[in-house]
Amino acid sequence: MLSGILVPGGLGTVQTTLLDLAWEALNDRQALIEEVSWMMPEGLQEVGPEPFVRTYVAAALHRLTQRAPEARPVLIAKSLGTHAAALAAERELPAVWLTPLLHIPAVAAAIGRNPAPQLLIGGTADLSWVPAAARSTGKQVLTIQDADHRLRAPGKLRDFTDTLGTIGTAIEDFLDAR
Amino acid sequence: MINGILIPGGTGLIGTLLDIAWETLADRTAHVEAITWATPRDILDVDPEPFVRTHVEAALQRAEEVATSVGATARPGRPKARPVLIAKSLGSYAAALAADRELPAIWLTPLLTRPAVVEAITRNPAPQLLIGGTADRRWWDAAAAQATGKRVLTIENGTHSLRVPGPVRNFTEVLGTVGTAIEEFLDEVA
Repeated sequence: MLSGILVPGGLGTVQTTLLDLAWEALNDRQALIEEVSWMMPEGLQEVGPEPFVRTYVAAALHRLTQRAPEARPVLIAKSLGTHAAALAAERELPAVWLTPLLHIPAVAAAIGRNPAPQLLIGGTADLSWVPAAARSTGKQVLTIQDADHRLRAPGKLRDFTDTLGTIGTAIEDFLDAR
Repeated sequence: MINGILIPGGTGLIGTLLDIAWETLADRTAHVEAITWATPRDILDVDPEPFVRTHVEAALQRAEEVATSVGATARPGRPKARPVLIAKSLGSYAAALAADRELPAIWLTPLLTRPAVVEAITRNPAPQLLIGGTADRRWWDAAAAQATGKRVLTIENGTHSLRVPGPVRNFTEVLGTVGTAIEEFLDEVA
């Protein structure tokens, strides 16, 4: 049975457009879903967020395996939540990384060493998106031209929702290949 | 200049539909007040109007202070910023306050099965846009929407989150339709 863990970005909630689309895609597939929410401590960036993110995601994994002992969930994480790449690599979990923090070498390295399928989605106008690092992971990459850290590119709102359609379809295809 | 007031539904958070609205406001360099709240449990079993009104009044007050200070330094005597309310679901209880102050508003999946909400939308002379889905049987009432005499955008088979059947692409198409309608509304009232 398909299962998924939604991991937020710095905002701390998964009730945001990109993760909402991921939730819809999981829900359409009758997946078991665990959602992470957090309050980001001030100064987290300075001390290193990986253990913080790891704790939340490990707890969500635990909750999920209580519900379904055989579950091998797909992680779907945004931005700060992509620090979960280290835990995902250890457990060899498939993952979708939305605007991953590829400017942080540990994140890019963790994605690269995880043998499970992964999909990276990022925009070329996002400072944390490093195209060379994305390519060198050897994983599937969806690049959104001129898009920022919200994956919005300049233009009308319709252009943005077209992008959201592309992202949603890529997530659906990724889930259907599991 | 627009003062956009984003009003959440029962989740108390700025979800996808309000996120789309936020983007359209930001594109127009509007000042945005995004309300978040902790919804009291069982609020629908009492009258939610004073709760919603309080949050929106406070947000309007904050927006007004920003507009006044910006206007005073940048260009004395410039026209005051015009508030536009954009509310989801439970937030549509702001319709009474909007009517009292004659504020334009966009009502995303408003609670049209609550007569007080319909009555308030109807008596407000300001432009308003109602957006709802035909599969939202608990809250959307097509006849009541028409009877308000305001502009209505109906999403066929849309649920209370305006999700339609089919792949996610169908949903993002709806988001495009909703977002474009919000853009056009803002460009008219501002």
